[in-house]
Amino acid sequence: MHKPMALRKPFWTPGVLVMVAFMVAGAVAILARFTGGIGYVANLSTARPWGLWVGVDVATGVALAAGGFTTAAVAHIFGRHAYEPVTRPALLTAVLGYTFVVLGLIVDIGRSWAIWKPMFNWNTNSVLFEVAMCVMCYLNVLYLEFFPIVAEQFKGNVNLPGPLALLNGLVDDILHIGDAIIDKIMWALIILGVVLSCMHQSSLGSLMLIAPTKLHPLWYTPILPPLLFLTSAFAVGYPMVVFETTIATSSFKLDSEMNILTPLTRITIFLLGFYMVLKIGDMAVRGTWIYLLDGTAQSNAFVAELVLGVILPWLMLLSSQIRASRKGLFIAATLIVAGVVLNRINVFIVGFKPPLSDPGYFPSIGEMMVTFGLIATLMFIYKIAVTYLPVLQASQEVSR
Amino acid sequence: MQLSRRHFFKIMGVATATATVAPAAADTWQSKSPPDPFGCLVDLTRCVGCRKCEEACAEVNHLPTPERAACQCTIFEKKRRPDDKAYTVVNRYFTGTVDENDTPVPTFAKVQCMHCQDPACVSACIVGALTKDETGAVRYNVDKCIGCRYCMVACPFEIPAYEYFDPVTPRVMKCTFCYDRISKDGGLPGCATICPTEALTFGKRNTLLNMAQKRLTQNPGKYIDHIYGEKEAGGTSWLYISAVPFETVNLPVLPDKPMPKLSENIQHSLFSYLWSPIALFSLLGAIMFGTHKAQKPKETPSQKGGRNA
Amino acid sequence: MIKLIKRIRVFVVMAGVLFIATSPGRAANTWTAPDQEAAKERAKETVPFVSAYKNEGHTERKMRLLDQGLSLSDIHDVYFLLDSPIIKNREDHYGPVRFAHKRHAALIQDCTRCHHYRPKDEAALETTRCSACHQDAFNSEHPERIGLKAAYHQQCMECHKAEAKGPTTCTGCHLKNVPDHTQLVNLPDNADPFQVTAECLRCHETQGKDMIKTAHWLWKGPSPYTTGHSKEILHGKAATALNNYCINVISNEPRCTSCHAGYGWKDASFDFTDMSKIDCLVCHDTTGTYKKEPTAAGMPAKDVDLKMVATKVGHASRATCGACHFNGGGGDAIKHADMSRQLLTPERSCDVHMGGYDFSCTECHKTRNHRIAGRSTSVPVAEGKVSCQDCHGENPHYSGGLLDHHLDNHCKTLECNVCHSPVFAKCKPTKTYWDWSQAGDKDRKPQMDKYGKPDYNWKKGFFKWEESAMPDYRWYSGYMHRVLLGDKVDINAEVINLTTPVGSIKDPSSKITPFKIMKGIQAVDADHDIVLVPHLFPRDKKDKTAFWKNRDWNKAFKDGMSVAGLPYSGSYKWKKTWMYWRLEHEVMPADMALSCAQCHESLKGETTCNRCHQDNRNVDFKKIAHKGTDFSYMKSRGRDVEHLINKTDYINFKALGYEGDPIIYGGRFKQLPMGYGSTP
Repeated sequence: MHKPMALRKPFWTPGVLVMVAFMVAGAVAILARFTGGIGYVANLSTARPWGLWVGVDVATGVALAAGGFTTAAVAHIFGRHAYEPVTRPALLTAVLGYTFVVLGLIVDIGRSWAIWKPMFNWNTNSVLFEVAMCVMCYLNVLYLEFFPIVAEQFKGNVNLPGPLALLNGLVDDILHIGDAIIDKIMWALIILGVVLSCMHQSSLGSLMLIAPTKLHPLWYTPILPPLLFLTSAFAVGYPMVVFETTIATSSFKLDSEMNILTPLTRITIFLLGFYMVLKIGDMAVRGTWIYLLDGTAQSNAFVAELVLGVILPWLMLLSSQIRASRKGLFIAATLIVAGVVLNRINVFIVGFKPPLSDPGYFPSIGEMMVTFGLIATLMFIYKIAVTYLPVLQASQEVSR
Repeated sequence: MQLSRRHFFKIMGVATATATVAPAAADTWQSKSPPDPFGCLVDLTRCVGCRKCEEACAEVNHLPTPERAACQCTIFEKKRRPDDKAYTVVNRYFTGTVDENDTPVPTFAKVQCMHCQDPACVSACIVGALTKDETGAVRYNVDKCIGCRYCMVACPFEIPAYEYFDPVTPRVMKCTFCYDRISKDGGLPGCATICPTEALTFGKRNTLLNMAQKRLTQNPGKYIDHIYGEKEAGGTSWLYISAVPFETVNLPVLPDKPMPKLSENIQHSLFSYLWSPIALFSLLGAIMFGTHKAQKPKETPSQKGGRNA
Repeated sequence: MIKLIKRIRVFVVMAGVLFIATSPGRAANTWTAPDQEAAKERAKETVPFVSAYKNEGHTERKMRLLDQGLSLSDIHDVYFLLDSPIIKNREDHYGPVRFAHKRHAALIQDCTRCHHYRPKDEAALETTRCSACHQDAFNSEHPERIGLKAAYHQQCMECHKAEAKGPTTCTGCHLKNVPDHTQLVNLPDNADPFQVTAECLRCHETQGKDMIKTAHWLWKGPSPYTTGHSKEILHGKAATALNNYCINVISNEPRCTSCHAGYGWKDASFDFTDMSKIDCLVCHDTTGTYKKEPTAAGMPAKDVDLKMVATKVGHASRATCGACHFNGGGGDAIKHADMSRQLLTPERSCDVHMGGYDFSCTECHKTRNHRIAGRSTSVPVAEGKVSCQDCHGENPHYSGGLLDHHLDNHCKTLECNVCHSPVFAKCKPTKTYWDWSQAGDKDRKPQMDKYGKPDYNWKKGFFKWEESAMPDYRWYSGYMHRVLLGDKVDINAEVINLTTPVGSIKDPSSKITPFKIMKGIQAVDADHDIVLVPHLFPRDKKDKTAFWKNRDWNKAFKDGMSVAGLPYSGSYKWKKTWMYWRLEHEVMPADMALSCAQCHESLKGETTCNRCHQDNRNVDFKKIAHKGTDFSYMKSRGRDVEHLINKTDYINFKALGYEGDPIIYGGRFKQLPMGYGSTP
């Protein structure tokens, strides 16, 4: 029986200081973006309206937050309660991941202040509209799902600083009532979270359907795009959990939780295998394998994505020895995560080749500063959260 | 767990009902193109590369005056594209034709928004800021725009440009088909007004198609036997005829199928009446209900969800 | 066919009866160029719209028209100004095109090339105007029919391209309308000239860069038509050009450079690479109020409202070009015999291009990058040449008359001006003689000649003037021999020719060409045999050497030559010098050119064309041979041409190297005399 609790460990470590440095750089770049315009910091153009921010901050962010709904599904819907210890960190990752997807969007869209407009101006033909609505709803669902964790920590001991202390009672009441209400509807929130995730994870893959001439044929598939994105999100969910749990447990010197992770990745064999079959099958059916060895950046990126990011880790996971080894599992999970990251980058950046006026694209320093700054902030808040909230398994420290 | 049996079957019922109806309805994709739109025919054999259309366009749309190279010939040395400061540009292409003195013969091609019959940008626009008007113009409503630039991703002609250097209120910039002018009786787009050789002919799209066809048949050998834009991307309001292959003047080879057809089909077959999410919700609900019922003797599901979600 | 030729003539082109008359009192705003006015009116006319036309094959249509006997002589509208309101109703960025209708017809010899269809209405004219079918663009009832503007452009450009002849660029045919600069020019109310130039350069920097490379700025440049110097680029007024008017600019800059398109060229230290000193307004003024101070090295007069002038800039005009070129030599018409202020508002008969059609100078003197084409005989520098043939072609006589063949043949031997500009200084007397040696006598009272012109000025010496004078004719190949500053001259020669046309009767490219010979007496260094440059205009109040202050030639030559960097021995000799000035302007209307009989005495008598041709057709040979310049009418209008009336030896054939009248003795390359009964 696990018992999540706040870590209560020293917060300011050298790693945190590095994060802060990235955050400051990111803040500078964001300031530049909101004073000089997108063009002032980004290498975007007419032909390349989407770059690093959409490819990584948004698309990849969404994919990597898949751990949240996949663990919720397995633990709560399919009733595999053994996996519950990883649901909370996965949920935290999802909450943070989606929050930063939105922050990334605010930086990326030209009229950030108008981000609310899709709520009132519906274009149901637009794939992006559906993605946006799902992301918006899902973000709210995630926050509601996360509420009990906050409540658990502070219920009964709300202690706001200074004059805000007057509100202590009120906040405490809110925590109590909110927790009670959410408790009643939690089953629906969990299912809704999975449904919304399935919807927009798949639809992200449909975004490029409208641009058949721009996306490289290795990725442009008129048959499967929603399914490929959805299955890859399924496939990356648990590896992502493995990835972050391993990093978290090793850096916080906690129990490695291999007893949970190893069985979890057995599911991944099936999920990743399904994705692999779809991907290879799609390539075979459409005959796009002819591009594989033509040596272009696109082909190489596709081969790397498929071989290193899908086939190799899948083969690794087949070995029960590797699955049982913390290191081996971590490497396999990292490869899968990297494979999906590369896939999203490929679809939105590398494989996106407008035939008429492509000036080429490589993210500018400014774009990278924003992206890394946002990732650093995410990690920073993750650390705050696990330090002060009951997220991680607080079992006895590992004696190494 | 508060899901009652009664509730559950109710949801399942609705889901099944929509599931059976929705996909069938969504599959019959209908073009949303206006019945009798205006169009503009560009006859590349007539264009002399004077760039007057650029000037007129800038003037009527209050854009910066186009760059005037000291000599017309130098401006053509680089291939230009419409951008946030110019809705239309003329480029010069040497396609290999030479005259009797072995001098390469240039072909000039104006490029601007094609005002597709079923525009990808309109389908893509998250907020419906882009619309296809009865006149044929693809119009942009800046008041709705959030600046996601999906229209730019979607456009097969790579036309919409963005005011990347405006930090707060950037706009998508593209040819308006001079909507304010053509929607008035007898109104013409700025570029067509000024074209000294009538390389641009403005009129009803159907008339122009007939006219273009007539030019092709009456001048055999002069033109490539194809009206670009008649079928490309499901048809465009702007039409081109040319003596040289269209891809040599940077007009993209495109399928005849309207760009939005596939994605709209998929989206609608998946999501019309939200049948699939509702079905999925119901399915997962059933599973959850089932698994928890089986486990109930052991612990309360409500505690489970609340504490550990 | 009668129907075909019958035309309703609304406007009668000037018959050319109004003959030469000076009109000093006429205000410029009442002046109109008659042919141009008629063309403008014609351009405004609308013709009934032809909605149905007959679809007819091109060749059968052509043959049908020829069978009907349609010919050049059926063309009534020789000239069109393509200025229909239809063209301008949407935008008006370019000036109208001058369309020489008859010339095109003569060249193409096929009306159907342009008049491609005929109206279905049998009563309508076969060769109806373009605007009868082509009117407003995008007519939804006739979508296949292009608008008038596009019709012009397609027709003209396609043919020009196909024939590789004629202009195909915008400014090849049109003058671009200058936009209103009122809002564009941003100047303080009391702007100084340099502020104006800086403001111009703000947008027109390229033009500034161009300008400082031109002959109008440098006053020197390539001299391709000066023998012995054709590869050099250093000659011109600013350097080596000499004349027998005020001789040379060197040491006299502040006075002379009041005609320079710049500010402050006071002496040799002037920086010719400094664009900020360009005087844009002197050429681009349209108000007529811009003036330069005559003695202030090109600075404008104090009372000019520079801001106002700058906001109203436009193309160069006869007025701006004329501000300098009409006033060469110190006053109106003094230097250039064929150019005077008369050309600001000339009568048709004074100059048919400017007076009849309102040409501006630059319509012939085509300008590229501020380099103005034109080949002067008086200065070595030239930036391109202009000739009548540029527009009129090698065979310009296409009236459809009996003489065309002979007239075109004359073009191989005669410059057009020989017949078409039979007299020079038609209305304004020009200086033809200038004796510097008599200068300096402040007490001598000038006498007025028959034209009311003074014969003396103590600063300059003794003059002679001529008006409506007969030119001298020389063989000329386009090249000049020229005495440049520092060149040795033959001091013992009776006359020193500062310029001499190079040409020969034996040279097929040489043509008989009219010249004004400027005769003078000026100083040559007695020891060094070089033409002397006097320092004339005082630099300041303390100037001790300027002739116009101190009246001492020795000091003046010493100073002038030292500034020029040339030796001066201290002794000088007065020598006769001649200069040949090519005459090109003051072109008469065609029907006022010299007649055959005015040069060919052999046609004066009873035997005329019938010397060679049978006269059994109903043709009045005599009338043909005698129709031409009517000097007695000119005399009646007050011109000094009495001696030219009934002249039959206008050209002295023997002086030109012929044995006599070529009709009798044979041409320069055709050795056999013409026709029967031609015993001399």
